[in-house]
Amino acid sequence: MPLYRIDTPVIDHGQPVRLVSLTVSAGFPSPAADDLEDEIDPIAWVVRRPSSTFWWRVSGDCLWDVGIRDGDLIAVDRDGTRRIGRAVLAVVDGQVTAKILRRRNGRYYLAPANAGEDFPDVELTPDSEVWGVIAGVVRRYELE
Amino acid sequence: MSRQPIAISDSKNFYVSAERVFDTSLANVPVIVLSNNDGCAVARSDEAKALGIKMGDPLHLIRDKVEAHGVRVFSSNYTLYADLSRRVVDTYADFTPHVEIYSIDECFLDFMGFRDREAHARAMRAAVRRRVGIPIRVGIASSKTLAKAANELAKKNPVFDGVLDLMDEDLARWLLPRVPVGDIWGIGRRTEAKLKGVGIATAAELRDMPLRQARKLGTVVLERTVLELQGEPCLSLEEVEPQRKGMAVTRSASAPMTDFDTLFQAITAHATRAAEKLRQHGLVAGTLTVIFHTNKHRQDRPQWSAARSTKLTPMSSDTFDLVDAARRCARSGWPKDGKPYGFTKAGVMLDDLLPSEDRPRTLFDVMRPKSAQLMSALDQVNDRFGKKTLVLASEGMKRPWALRADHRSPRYTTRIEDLPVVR
Repeated sequence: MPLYRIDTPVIDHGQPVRLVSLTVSAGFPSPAADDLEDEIDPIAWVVRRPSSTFWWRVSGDCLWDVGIRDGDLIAVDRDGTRRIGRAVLAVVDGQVTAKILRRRNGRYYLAPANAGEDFPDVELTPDSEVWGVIAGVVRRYELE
Repeated sequence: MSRQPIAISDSKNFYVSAERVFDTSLANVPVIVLSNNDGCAVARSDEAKALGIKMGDPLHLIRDKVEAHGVRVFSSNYTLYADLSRRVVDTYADFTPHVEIYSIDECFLDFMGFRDREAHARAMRAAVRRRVGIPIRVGIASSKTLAKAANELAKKNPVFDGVLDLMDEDLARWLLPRVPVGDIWGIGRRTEAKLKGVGIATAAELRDMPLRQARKLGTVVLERTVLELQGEPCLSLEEVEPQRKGMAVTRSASAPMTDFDTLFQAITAHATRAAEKLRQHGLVAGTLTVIFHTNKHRQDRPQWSAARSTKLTPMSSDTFDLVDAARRCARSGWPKDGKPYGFTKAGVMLDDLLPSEDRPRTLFDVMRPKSAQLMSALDQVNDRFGKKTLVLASEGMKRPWALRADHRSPRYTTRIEDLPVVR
């Protein structure tokens, strides 16, 4: 039996049909009919809180050490818990920058995430706000 | 009578706050957002207000101020505002079982059953700020009008820190004499003048006005406002969206439209959009009106203003029917004297709306079985591939009349090519 991909939602009486029943072949009911599930959605797995998560594009390799490359898309959760060691977007002097949250001698710092670049840590002051916590990264590669 | 708390929450300078979420260089600097077609200021940051820029100031009149003080100017980016608004409403839904959206930046919320309403409102305010980055203010009272007044007070007095609960009767008794009657929801300039004529200048005085006098002075609407100020809810939280009675799509043109074809392109686009809206709401229209006029502020140029209506028989939401009717209206309203008119505004209005399934059938319905399928295909294509992928050719391809939006910020949250960039 041929299989066809369903790329667009099927609408019936104005409602999207999530589970499309398979055509029943005469004599041999499909053994898979009871095991139909939605296709995996990795984006939904990354974005746990849709109302507070925003996508950003990364320019440069400032997050190299935490596995984020130039051109990657990152999901940033404004409501993510600010923890030491987490990669965050921070606002320093009105500019948004990606940094790691660190603590030394009871003070909080924004440290670069690239050992190859020699930037000093920035102390977290009331003026340097943490915009959000990086929730995940999406990258794609050339196919042609 | 049990008094049920209603909250109204609105965003401070919403469009400016929305621009500031992604463009962090906008913090603490004067920012204004312009209306459709970059006409006049419709949102101002506190810094811009402090410079004396007023709501509705046309950009060309405040150019000097803009340049002297480095005011940052934006075209309205409704795509962004709508996305952030949706996120704000989603956040409200975590704090109340019932949200009634009143406008893009205002919601009425059911606040019944919370022991400490103020703490609840503060937690909600902090959550919206943290999750979406938008500052909001909350007013709470037992009627919508009082809640609006509370919200207004919270807006004007930093001492309330964005939240005011007027369920506290002592507080209401103390504050209402301090609210000018013109600040009350639903009191327009003319009513305000009439009220002042009979010696009513504050919200407290309006609250204490005899109902019969209120009705005589300003009809049942004013009587209702008085009752609302007494804490008696006359405007309930609307459980369902009210049935629309009419809708309009009108736009200012970026350049004056001087020939019929250009005008008709704009009108085709507006009729197309109106038909789309009808179908979205499952409605059909019985009457279509086309309006277009020249710039009334240029009395040195020839003036023309036209409004023509026609019946749609059968009632319809079909783009072809609406555009056809709109063309008849536009033709009949087009000036015949050959003077060089420049039309700056055109629009299509629909009235006499009915749910599609209740429409009167006519003999000709049977001849048009394809219409519904065709329109559904049109909507799906435009939905999937983007607005205006499939249009009627009479809309034209160049769209010289299309909106001006020279300073629009990127559509940060809805277009992958517009994503904000972190360096």
